Amino acid sequence: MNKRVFSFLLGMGCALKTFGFCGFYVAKADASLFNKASQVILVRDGLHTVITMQSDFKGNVRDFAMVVPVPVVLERSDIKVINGNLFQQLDAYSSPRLVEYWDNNPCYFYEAYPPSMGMANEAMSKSASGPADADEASKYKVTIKAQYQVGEYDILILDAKESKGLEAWLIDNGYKIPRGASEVLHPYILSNMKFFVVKVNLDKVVNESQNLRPIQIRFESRKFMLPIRLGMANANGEQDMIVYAFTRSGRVECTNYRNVEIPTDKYIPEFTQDIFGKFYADLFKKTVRREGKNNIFLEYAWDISGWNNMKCDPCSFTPPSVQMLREAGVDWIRDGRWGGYEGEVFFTRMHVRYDREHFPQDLQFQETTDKRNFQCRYVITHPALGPFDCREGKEYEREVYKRRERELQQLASLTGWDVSPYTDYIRKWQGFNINDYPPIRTGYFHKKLMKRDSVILCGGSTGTDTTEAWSTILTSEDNDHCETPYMQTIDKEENSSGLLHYLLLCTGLMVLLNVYLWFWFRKKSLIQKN
Amino acid sequence: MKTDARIFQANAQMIFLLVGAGVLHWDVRPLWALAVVAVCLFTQWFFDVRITHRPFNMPSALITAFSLCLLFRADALWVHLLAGFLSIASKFIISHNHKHFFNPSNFGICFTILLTGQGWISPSIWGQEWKWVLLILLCGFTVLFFAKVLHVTLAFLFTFGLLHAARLLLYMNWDFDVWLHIFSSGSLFVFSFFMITDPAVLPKGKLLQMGFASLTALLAWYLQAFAFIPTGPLWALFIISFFLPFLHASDARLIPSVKLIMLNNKNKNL
Repeated sequence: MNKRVFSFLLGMGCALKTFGFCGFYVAKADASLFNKASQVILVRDGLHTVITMQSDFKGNVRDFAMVVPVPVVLERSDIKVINGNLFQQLDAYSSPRLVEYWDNNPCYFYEAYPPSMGMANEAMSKSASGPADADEASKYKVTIKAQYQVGEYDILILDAKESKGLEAWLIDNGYKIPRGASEVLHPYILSNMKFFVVKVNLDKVVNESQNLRPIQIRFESRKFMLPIRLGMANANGEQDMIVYAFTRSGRVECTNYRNVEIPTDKYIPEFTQDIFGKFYADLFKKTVRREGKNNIFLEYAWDISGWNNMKCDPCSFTPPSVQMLREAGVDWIRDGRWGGYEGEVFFTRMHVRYDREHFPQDLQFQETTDKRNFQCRYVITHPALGPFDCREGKEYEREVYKRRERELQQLASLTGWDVSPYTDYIRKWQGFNINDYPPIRTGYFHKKLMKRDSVILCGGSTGTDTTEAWSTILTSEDNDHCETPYMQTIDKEENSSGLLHYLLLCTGLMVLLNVYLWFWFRKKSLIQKN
Repeated sequence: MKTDARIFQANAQMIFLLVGAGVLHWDVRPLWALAVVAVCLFTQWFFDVRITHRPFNMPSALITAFSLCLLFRADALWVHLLAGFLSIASKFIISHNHKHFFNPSNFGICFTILLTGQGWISPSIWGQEWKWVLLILLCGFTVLFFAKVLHVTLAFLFTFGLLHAARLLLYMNWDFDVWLHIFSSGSLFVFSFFMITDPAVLPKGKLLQMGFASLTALLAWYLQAFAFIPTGPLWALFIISFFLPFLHASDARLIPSVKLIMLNNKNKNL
């Protein structure tokens, strides 16, 4: 499905490399990139919690079943089926985005205006299906606390006394739960949780591969958590989950796994635009590898309170409207003027890739008062095209060579891609395309290679022709023939010199602190002697 | 010159701060941290030199300031400064016989959150990595070896671990790694090595100190497991500290003597 491009100018006169949020929005990387990505909307207002679940189920709805531990017995009015578009809209609004800048030719001043661009992505189909009927449950020590029909779903709220009975009951009633799930069910039973069991009512579905709509439940509870353990009972590798959270006061953060912000505001090569989805997927993978697998990642955080006129910058999709927020369960907002709303709302998007090994505990959250905005934003910069026949022009040209080289390094460092086949990009300012996805190099061998593959780029100072050939030398020995060489190691972690500075700073601070303390105690002991 | 444990403590906290800001991407803004240090030092100097006419106790204020930078998060500077001021001021205002009842930074953090509704504690800033736990243990043992309060930490960790193990492993039948997950949290170790062990706060007598630590662990466990407060230990210490005057008053072994001593104190005051 093609999507119309959003490219409007936010804030006039954004200078080259300003770090503020501006630029032309060109592409986004949405949740459809990740296999097995379920999505959840969490709304928390005091103890009032609304959870909306969109499972990643694909297939025949006959096979769909969902068991969710919930802290209380839910009433009929606490369960709702909502429109699946809500997730797509929230995803589109908050997904990582690519923006672009246009350089001016320093020799000729004119208004740069971006040509319109096309962009494609998006594909999200969720479907599901269900099993059979429920029996009386006395022999399993399972009580059916409530039974509802909501939309296309048959819903049961179960209270169980023992996990074996519950497991047997579920299996006998046609719920396909993994063997061994009782071990995980047991702790939930003991912590007095009820089970919210969902299957599809086949009379209500039009065809068996239709999309299933998200289910929304609401309850009052001190527990602010998402039970993920049950979903890992069958332990079939990593699963992705995207959590959209709405609160009054500020960011939501996980309290039992480290919260890590995804690298953002990075300058990357122009050609990334065509493969932005793949770029982000690999960036995420690399970030998970670097920061550790037992973390939860922040992808978006924005104050979307009624009074805030800048609900995104740049916008990749229209910000959540009053109807969307109400549908998600943000009940505290009031209708405002001009179709807007009044009330404090803070939106957080988190992305977690979990498996049994690294996530032994359910995700627990807390609401903070952190109102800092955050977004995953990547920048491509289109150079001006020649001729550069003035002094500033030459300088500009040199700058761009360096910049494009940095962009390649950045790309390699962010995604782990092997960028060595793309070194032409530095000199070829127009029409540079890559045919295939870049290969990924990882692990120890990758690091070894990175050390060896120092690419020395010669020239730049006298180069007037942008298509001029340039030399790449794969060993760092004979770079003497370069007239004004500047040497960079492609693939090198971009911040290694930053790290050195940081270590120096640390040492300095430690020494300072100790000298200060030493003098202090020495003075004190002298006074005491006297 | 006798080695002062506070030198090691300040060093350890500085290492944590640098690791946190540099490697774990904590939201520690250098200028804000400096401002907090300045406020703490000034408040300490003011109360020491101007009000109580005692020598300026610089290291204590410095450690409190570092501790605030490590644990407390807020997205407004004034909240940090208020926490800094309250921390130090609490030492002088809520005290008896030059002995204060609250760990300064614990009081500062909890009271600021209650008072303003701003600020929060992130219990997961260290993540669950063993390398950080090892670093904290290394620093912690060094400091406590010199401060001679290791038994407090051990009592706290032992009680807390036992309670969690009893509930999670024996009662609820979770896998062992659920328990381990709780016990590989850096924040828990920072708390148990650097916050609960403040010698200026602890009651006198080893047994009493260990009882105090165990009581805190019990409450922390309750808050975490049943009230779902992820920052249980900090709040537990804050709450238990309200009862510290009783422990101070007893000052020794026999709890029933508390009443008598309090009566005596009253008579003295009269």
